[in-house]
Amino acid sequence: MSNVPKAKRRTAEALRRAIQGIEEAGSPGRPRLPLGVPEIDRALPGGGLRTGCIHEVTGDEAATGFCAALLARAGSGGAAAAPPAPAATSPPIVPGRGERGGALLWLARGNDLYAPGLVRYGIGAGRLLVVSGLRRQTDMLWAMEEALCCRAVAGVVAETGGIDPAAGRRLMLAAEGTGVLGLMLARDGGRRRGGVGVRGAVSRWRVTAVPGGHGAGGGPKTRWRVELLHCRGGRPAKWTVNPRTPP
Amino acid sequence: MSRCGRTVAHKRKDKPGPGAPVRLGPRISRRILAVWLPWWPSERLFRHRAETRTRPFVTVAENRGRLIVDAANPRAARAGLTPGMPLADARAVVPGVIVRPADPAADARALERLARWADRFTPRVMPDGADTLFLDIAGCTRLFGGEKALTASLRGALEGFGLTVRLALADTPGAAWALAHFGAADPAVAPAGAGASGLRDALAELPVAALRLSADVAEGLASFGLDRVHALSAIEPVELVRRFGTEPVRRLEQALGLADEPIQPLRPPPPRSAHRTFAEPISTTASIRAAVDGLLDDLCLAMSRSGEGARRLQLVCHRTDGDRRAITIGTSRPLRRKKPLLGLFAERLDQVEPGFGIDEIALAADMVETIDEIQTDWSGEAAGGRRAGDEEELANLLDRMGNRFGFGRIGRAEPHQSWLPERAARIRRPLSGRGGGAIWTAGPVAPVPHARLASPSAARPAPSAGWPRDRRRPLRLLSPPEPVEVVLAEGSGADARARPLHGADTVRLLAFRRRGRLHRIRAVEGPERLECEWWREDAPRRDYYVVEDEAGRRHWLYREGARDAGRTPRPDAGPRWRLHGVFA
Repeated sequence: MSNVPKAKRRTAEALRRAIQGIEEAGSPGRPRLPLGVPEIDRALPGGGLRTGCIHEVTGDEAATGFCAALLARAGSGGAAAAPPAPAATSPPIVPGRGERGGALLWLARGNDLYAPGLVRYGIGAGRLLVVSGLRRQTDMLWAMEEALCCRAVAGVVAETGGIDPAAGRRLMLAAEGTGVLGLMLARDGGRRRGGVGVRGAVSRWRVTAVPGGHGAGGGPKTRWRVELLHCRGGRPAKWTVNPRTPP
Repeated sequence: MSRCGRTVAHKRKDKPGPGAPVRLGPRISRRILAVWLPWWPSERLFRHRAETRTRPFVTVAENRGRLIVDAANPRAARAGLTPGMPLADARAVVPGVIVRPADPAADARALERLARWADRFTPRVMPDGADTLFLDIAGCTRLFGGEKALTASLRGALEGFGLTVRLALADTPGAAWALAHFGAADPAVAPAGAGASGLRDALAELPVAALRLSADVAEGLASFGLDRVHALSAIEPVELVRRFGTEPVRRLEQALGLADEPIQPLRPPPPRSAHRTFAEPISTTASIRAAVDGLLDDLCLAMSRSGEGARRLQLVCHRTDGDRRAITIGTSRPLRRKKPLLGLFAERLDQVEPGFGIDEIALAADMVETIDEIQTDWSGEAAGGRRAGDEEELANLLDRMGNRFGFGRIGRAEPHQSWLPERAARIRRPLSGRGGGAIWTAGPVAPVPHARLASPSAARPAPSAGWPRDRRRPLRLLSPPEPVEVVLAEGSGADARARPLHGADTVRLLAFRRRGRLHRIRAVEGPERLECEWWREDAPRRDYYVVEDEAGRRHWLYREGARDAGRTPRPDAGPRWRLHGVFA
């Protein structure tokens, strides 16, 4: 890159910004949510997950943990750093979210989410609002859209997948207006390959548990295979990570 | 609103104290239906059992060391058992009589429940004495097709419960009581709007006891030959007061409507309400919405004057065919801003089936609470650096969800001091407790102070604000735990899967079978012994293991029912394995 003339580099940079602007459809400069794993963050455009849009996560129970970790990062507020925007654009605005982070919502199909287990992924006691028993897809989508429209929400997880394109587009528009991070969690028991297919999802992940070897006491360590199946402006990749308990 | 008629927003009038009856100027007309349940104590106890209706039955109360018959059922009364008779005499008359202790407090509670049930006929229901209900049905008869139809439907329902009833209708509670207890007809009806003279005629031939006089006063009157109401009303009140005190005169005046006797309904009228009647019935959702909009304006204005907000609102649409449709919405905190309230109603207005049209809409705030105003500066920043608008928005969001899915589905899990995993999290719901509370705070909530169970010794670490972080807990908890089969082998210390089992030697956990599928175990952590609080009976004692299968999935298994020293095994003894949760 160093031998490219400065003018060309500037042109390329401007083009990249223009493409990004088109992609982000009128809401440029949304903050990025870094995952805290440098290898993964490097693979994501802007150094993290884009907020104000929908991401899809599939896989087995590990996907639940992955979503919990992302949600915790979205709720910690400070972690959502501004993208490395060029000086020309206006500074990013995080609407409606104070220093203490917004609310975290989990729209659950059943009633089996166990709050003490979420502490490990950074969601403290009493932090998460759970709406349980949303078995009907229409209820789930309605609740998801309402949550994405609310500025007081930092992030929302909906346990659903396979929604039709029109619904996906609606959710995207709702999220764009407020900057809420939306995660669609589709648990498939780790059997299916590929995404469930939320049309309009900015990125599509597949997270599964893999044998983690023995920990200090001989017990199993948590280890995940994280696959980025699709990412707007990025390339598919896969990693194996050992999730750490945040301090 | 182009078609709106009149709008009334009113506040509940202060009830007159019992000591100081308030004489109102032009009296609001009342129509009192008295419901007398002559066999209430006995029928209440055994209305579910058919055989007690055909057999003599009495309740007894102890009086100066003797058991006295307190109430009898019709069968026993026919056999000659009357209240006040010693139980020994009653047994002599009817040897096989069923006897139960009297419980006047339970009778009164049951009567109050019956009164609450009866509020489907009118909101103004009051239990009176031990066995009578007063229903003020003025203005309610239209919904049931007239006075006669209402009376018949009430009688049908009560008789369906297995109760004997006597009904009477009059313009005053006193007259209705008298006619129900002593009237010849059933239902005895004193014509509406008869006035004092009309009521005097209706009551003339009744005994003076019909005026709800105490026993000694009634006896005293009878000894003077004043045994009928007409005899009593012929005497100058001054003379009566001189000899018998104020009671007979007061009761007579109450029965005739000359003295006020307020009905204090069990369920107080809603503190805030507004209603609208329409000259022409409305039927489109848009026009209903416009009417609700106007009603909310009135209601919110009234509430803002008093510094209150609504927690629960009920919208009742009266249809022209006499049917009614009601929508109730709840809010997680007192609210009096029109927009969110209208939004909550708007989502459900299509449930109102207008039929041939709606001619009256009433909106009532059943539950109001004082709003604590938060002072914000010009930027909307509230004290504490939190944006006031955020909490408001979040509360609105969860109100919408709560009204759609039910508030019981929304909650925050909070730590609860119990080692048993299924009890370690307690869910806080938005509608529990006054004010809704901190469930809506947008940011992290403050640490929950824990009750210290042990003595506050310095060596003991302070109870943490959350769940223990050093212990592994699953992301999903199965409820109930799933039974699994575990394959064990004789232990050897070198294997990573070798674990001590309580009540047995060290063994290796090789595999477990869940729903017919075998999971080979690669690594094990545990056991972690968790047990219930010792004071709970039948406290389970479980050994938890974290096991990883070949695919890398981690499961939370426990073993329970192992024989332990100092503990008697449960009848269905033998260790059982269960899968209680899955990890990420």
